[in-house]
Amino acid sequence: MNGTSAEDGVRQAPSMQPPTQLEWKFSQVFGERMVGEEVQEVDIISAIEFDKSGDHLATGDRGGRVVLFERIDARNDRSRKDLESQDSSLSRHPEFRYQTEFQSHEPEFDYLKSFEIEEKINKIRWCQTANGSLFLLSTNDKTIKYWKVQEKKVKRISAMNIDASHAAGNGSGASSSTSSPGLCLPNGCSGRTFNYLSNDLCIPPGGFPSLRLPVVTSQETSLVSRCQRIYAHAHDYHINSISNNSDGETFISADDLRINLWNLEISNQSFNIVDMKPANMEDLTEVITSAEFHPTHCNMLAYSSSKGSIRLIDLRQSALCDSYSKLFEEHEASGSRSFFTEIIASISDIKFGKDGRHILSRDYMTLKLWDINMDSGPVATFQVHEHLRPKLCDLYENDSIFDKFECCFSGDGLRVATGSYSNLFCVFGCLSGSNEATTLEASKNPMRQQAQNPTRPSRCLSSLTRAVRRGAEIQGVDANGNSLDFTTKLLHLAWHPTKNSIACAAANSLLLLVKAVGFSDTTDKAQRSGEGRSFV
Amino acid sequence: MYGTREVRRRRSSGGRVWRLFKWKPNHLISTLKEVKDGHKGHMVAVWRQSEWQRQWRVIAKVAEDTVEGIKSTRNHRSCSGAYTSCLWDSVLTILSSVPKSIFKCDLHQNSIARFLGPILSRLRRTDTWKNRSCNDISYNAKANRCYPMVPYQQKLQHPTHNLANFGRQKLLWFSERCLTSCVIGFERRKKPWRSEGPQPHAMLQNMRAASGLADTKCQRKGNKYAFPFQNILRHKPPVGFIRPSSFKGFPIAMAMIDEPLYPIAILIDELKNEDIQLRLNSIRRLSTIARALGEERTRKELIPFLSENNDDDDEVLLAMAEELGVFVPYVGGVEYAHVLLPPLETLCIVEETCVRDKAVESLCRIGAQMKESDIVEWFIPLVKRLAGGEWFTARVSSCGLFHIAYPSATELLKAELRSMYGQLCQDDMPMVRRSAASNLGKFAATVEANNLKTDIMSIFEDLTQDDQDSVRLLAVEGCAALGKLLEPQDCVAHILPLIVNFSQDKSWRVRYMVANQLYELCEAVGPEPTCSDLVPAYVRLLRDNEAEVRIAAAGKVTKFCRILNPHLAIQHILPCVKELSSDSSQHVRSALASVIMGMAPVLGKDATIEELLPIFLSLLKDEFPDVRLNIISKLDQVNQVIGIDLLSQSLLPAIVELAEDRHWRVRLAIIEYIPLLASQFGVGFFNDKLGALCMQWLEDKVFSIREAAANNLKRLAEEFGPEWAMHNIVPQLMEKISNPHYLHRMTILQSISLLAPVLGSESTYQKLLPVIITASKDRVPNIKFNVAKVLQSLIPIFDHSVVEQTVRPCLVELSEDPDVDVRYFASQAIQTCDSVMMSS
Repeated sequence: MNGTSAEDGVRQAPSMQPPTQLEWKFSQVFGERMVGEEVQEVDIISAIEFDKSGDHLATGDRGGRVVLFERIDARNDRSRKDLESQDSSLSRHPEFRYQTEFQSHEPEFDYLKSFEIEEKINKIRWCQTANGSLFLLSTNDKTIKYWKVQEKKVKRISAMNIDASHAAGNGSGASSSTSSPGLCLPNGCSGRTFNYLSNDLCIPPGGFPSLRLPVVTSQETSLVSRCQRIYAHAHDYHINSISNNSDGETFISADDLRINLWNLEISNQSFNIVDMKPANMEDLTEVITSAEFHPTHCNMLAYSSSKGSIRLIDLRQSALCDSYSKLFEEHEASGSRSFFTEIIASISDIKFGKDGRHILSRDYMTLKLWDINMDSGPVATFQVHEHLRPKLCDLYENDSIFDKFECCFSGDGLRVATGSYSNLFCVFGCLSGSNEATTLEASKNPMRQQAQNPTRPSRCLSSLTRAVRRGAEIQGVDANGNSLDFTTKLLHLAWHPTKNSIACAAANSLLLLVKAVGFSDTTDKAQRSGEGRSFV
Repeated sequence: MYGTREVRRRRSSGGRVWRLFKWKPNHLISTLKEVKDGHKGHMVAVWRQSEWQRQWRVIAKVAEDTVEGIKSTRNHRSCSGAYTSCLWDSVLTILSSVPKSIFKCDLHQNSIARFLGPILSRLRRTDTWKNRSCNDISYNAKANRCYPMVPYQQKLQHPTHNLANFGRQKLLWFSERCLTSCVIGFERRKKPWRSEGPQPHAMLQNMRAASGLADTKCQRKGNKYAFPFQNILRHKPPVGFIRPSSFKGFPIAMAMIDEPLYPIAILIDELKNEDIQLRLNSIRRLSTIARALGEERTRKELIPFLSENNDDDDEVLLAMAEELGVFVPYVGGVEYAHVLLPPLETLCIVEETCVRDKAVESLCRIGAQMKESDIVEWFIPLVKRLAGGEWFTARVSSCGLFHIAYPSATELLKAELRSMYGQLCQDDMPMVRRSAASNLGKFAATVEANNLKTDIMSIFEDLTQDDQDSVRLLAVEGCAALGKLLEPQDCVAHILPLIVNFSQDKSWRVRYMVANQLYELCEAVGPEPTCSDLVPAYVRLLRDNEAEVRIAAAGKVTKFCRILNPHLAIQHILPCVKELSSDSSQHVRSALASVIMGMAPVLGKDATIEELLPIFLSLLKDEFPDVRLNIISKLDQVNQVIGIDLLSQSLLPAIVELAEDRHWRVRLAIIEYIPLLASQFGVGFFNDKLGALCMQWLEDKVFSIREAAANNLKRLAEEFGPEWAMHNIVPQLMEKISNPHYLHRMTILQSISLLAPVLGSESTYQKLLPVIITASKDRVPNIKFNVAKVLQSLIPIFDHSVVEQTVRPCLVELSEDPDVDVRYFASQAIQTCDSVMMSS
């Protein structure tokens, strides 16, 4: 599990790399595959999410299980940690350990509509921690569940009134407070006569001294997960995302055509806020692919569509938000349209930045960064799959073109990451001056890919949008001459909210990669403060 | 719902199941399933009518027959084990569906035991039974009684667990002998059970030998031992019996706790039971436990024990929070009330909202009783701890406690509490701010006037500018509460601008809240400013973009107009109302229709005719039935002002259309209003226009409509008098009784039975009785037994001579009917006859 050994394989990045470049190294792996071991379908991870503090990590898999990990180093010296600057924490990158797991969803069969409901976890979202218990929402295609994970004392009860062990063990010494232990002798029936033998229960003023309360002796605790609420039967189509509101009271769930608003406390009603279903299903041109609440403004939410547009809606305006307040869309040049244009334009995931000003969106070919104050076009476009453009036909044939890659912001909002094929993922610096673009492999040797193919940030300038285009060119053929493996795709990944650490899912195993060398943060800050917006 | 045919089949099948399907196990199973399902649904209804005793017998019969059947099927070749186990499930489900209420009545406990006993004893002897861990009830063949075993070792997985559970608490009480049996179960520990003593299994062997129970089977299930034990504790021990106590170290439960204490002992032990239902039950009866322990031990042991018990399931915690609220008498009165605070404090931090709310409620209840010095000493520190709590849950709860703590505090503490509340209103967590906003009114009511104006108002103004919609909308309620506390001029200066701002808030939810609370807000600011400032605000709300806001605003039109003078209302509000009556949203129109009739008395006759009437008429023509129904339901209000004639032209088509609406619920709703309409219209108009409709409904497709129509006839007869009914209703009923459809004939019978008491004895005898007698010759048994029922209900109306000469012969004839149900109901009716005769 200790990843330091992986360092050997890391070769220094070429010197042409700018100083902002992060070097990544492997930190931990959970559920590592043995050589020659087949990946079980149910074990494949289908959702990853860090909680707000970064102390916990949850993964969901196709078998409907949710596995929780907790940060080891966070518990003992949190206060000191906060004082530490980010640079010095490099040596103390977050490490996680398995905490607990539970079966969140079971396969079901809808008898009315005659179809099976998979148990696969589509999304996990953490809710507000309260009183030491963790709360999270998990969803499959149809049903959202609200889980509480709580530490409970293991019950080991002694000193029962009517209990085998008690009489035998002479009270186990547990109930020393009992006022008159003499009355509780096991053989009491033989000699003693009590004044309250009468059948009707008149209780003497002092109570019955022979009664005793059970005493819990065990001090051990165990984690117990319990489903608090089930939000079901509100979606006709498959739920693709859920998102908590910043008010801590509500959340949304989005399926292909509708977005519903729920109160966490109320599981039997929800409000439909967006309905894209046309009166005639043949007129359907667009479906919702992802939806997320603004991180601070409780009334704002964004959702993306299969046509490549992101709509921002304001819940204050009306109860039904079928009309949007802002639309973010990039207009492709009309000449370049092809059969695949619409398919690859479909946005698979959107994320708000922590500051709430930026939205990150991922479509099949690119990763786009939007400023919510600028709806003319993306601030930056990062090429992820440009090298696959000639192969779109093949990808369409084997359905890979419909893969839904997720994307994420780093905790400080300076970098973005998204997944690709062959267990690769790309990290881009999203500052105006940064040209960082790294391709990493989700393996014990994350920099291998990069060492082989040093990234050549390719930029093309669009004078209209001032947008930056960069690409982390994943080559079609890797070092060993194998072509890209479309079966091993890295769809899900999440960036730690405070540290430079990424959790990503490679099939059934969860990998944690951390930034290895870090003189970059200070430089980043310097850059940010002196944002000159000077584009190359 | 669709007549009694369905129910009847279920009712009669009980006793016959086995006899019918003696050699057809397949049929038996499917029928049993049906019976089982049928009974489950049906029984609920039946029990509600407190006929449960009879039903219970039927169930017991079914179960018994099934057991009988299982015995036979085992000899039957085509019967496999799967069938048998399926049958068992049927029996057990039937039994477990018996509601607990059955045990409330002591009288019947023995009979229940008698039914249960044989079944259980048979069950026990069969193979399948042995595989199931359900020794919870033991049956004593000699006494023909069944007793509960005392199960406390594990939660049983099988449905029989429910069977045993359903009445166990009661069963425990019902017999003085209830303790003559018990099961001993103990876990086999990893280490030797008692290092120096004998091993359990060996001990059981010893014991069997000693007690002369060698033939009794000692069942070992997993790591549990179960041992039928009753003989050991009988009065007459078998030869060679050694008193349990002489088994050193052997756990004899009975030996240590005295019989009358036994239930309480169980209750206490179950505070920590694995089964949540048992824990819940124990917690609900915490007062019993506390009384049994006495006040002192309650304080010193029970309460600390409960405080530690804070990681239990939410249901248990909720029950605990509730119980502790009324626990003051059990800890020794008000001077000891403070001992209750620690457990409630831990409950205030719990994650689940409803538990916290309940704990806060209980704390308030206790705090209200506490002495002032105790409040300072105990309660205020608690509030402070919660308000500075690490988890937001504690801070949320603290907001609801300030109003109890504040009045008793010293000046210094008061200032501290106020500033703390101010902190809570600026908490990072929106949940805390919400709680602070919603509790502000209560807290402000306890704050002195001068502090109110300074501290509280500034806190409140912060809340009104919160960037979370959910906080602001709670602040709207605070406006009304604070407005009432402030002097009128302060209120106008401070609250009024806030309300006006709120009514223009960006968020529709806040505006909706204003619309909803408008009346209270107007009350708070007083009449003058209402006219000048709130009328424009209200008009804006009535014209809001968001339909939800308009719905809320429209629903308040009448209430709002009542506080305005009519002139203002006509000038400002009426134009909006006109717009709303043609609103694009049907819900807005419907909300308007439900209140607009109330405006008539406010505006007076002339204005109503001139202004409102067109609106009424347009709403009456609305395409949406709810709108029309709402207008019709409030007809009486407008009738007082302008009379009905002006409306009748439009009303009639509207009513007729509703009466023939596609949706039966709409038809049902209009039927409900017919008596109201009739009283408004008067006899003449009714006879002309609506009489036919009322008769038409009697032949509706839907049972509920027919039923309501029958009821409607009765209410009309009450409205217009028996004379009218004799001339207008009865002749038509006479015609319809020969309807070819038996369900329609049944409706007529029902109408007759309802009408008869209104018409009186004489006319019933002359007109209705002959019809009923004729119906008793009907070919459909359903009609016949309904005749019996009708006659039974009519017996008290008639003279004795009539009963003897006409009714009884008819019933006697029915009681010889080939159909079993007809016979049953006829005999019931004859019994009533007899008892009436006897009593006179």
